[in-house]
Amino acid sequence: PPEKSPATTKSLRRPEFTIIVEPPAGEPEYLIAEIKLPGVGSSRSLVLDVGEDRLVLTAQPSLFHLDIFHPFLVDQENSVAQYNSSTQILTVTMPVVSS
Amino acid sequence: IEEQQRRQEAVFQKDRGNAYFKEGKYEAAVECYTRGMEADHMNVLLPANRAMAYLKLEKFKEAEEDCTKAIFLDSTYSKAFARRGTARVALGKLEEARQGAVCLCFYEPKKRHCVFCLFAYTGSSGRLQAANGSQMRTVQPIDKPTHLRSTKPLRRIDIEEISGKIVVPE
Ligand SMILES: [Ca+2]
Repeated sequence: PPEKSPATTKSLRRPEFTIIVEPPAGEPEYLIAEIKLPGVGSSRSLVLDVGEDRLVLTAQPSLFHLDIFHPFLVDQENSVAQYNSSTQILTVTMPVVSS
Repeated sequence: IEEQQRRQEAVFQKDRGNAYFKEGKYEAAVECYTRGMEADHMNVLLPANRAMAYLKLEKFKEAEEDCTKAIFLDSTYSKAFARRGTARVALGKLEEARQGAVCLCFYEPKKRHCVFCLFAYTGSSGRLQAANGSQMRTVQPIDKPTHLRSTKPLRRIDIEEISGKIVVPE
């Protein structure tokens, strides 16, 4: 295989995360992704994309990368995200359209 | 004129309270806010700020009551809902904290999730917590074959930055 360039050897870490379904019982209304980003001081270094069944997050420059699919369809228009710079946790809330 | 004087007195006490608050003198801040409330019981910032001081003093019951007062004066004052959520979580009133979040979403649909997540679910650690301990429902990511994936394009989401700390009063 070709030798990796220095830029790509600076490997992308997959952050620790949890996806919560709200409410705890019954028809799912929200998916809440909680993503831990230790070392990320500000939301300015984050790029977040939400798909109907996918979540893609990149922290720049090349600290973390997450690209996951989930078994739901969410409302992308009404998905919101907050980054808590004190706890260094990103919370993404996505209304569930269907499961 | 008397009413105007009382309003001015209230603002003066609020500013004094805020100054004490910034110095970390929360008991003194509470006293000033209380005097301000006595002068003008219609000023929403006084109970809302006193609630913050009570939160700092870990007097959560008092904080909750002050937030309710503030909400009564201005039902669109989202910070009061948020602080009440914090107080209720601290008091273990998780169901009420949730209802507060629902209340808020009526006025600020976009903020719903913010308060929902931050105050109905987070404890002092800032981590999400199950509303009823073991009842938290989680889901794992899945491997989805390409042909089963949604064809809708990704959408870039603005990230709102928050510090998660009790901020300086207004
Ligand atoms: Ca109550």
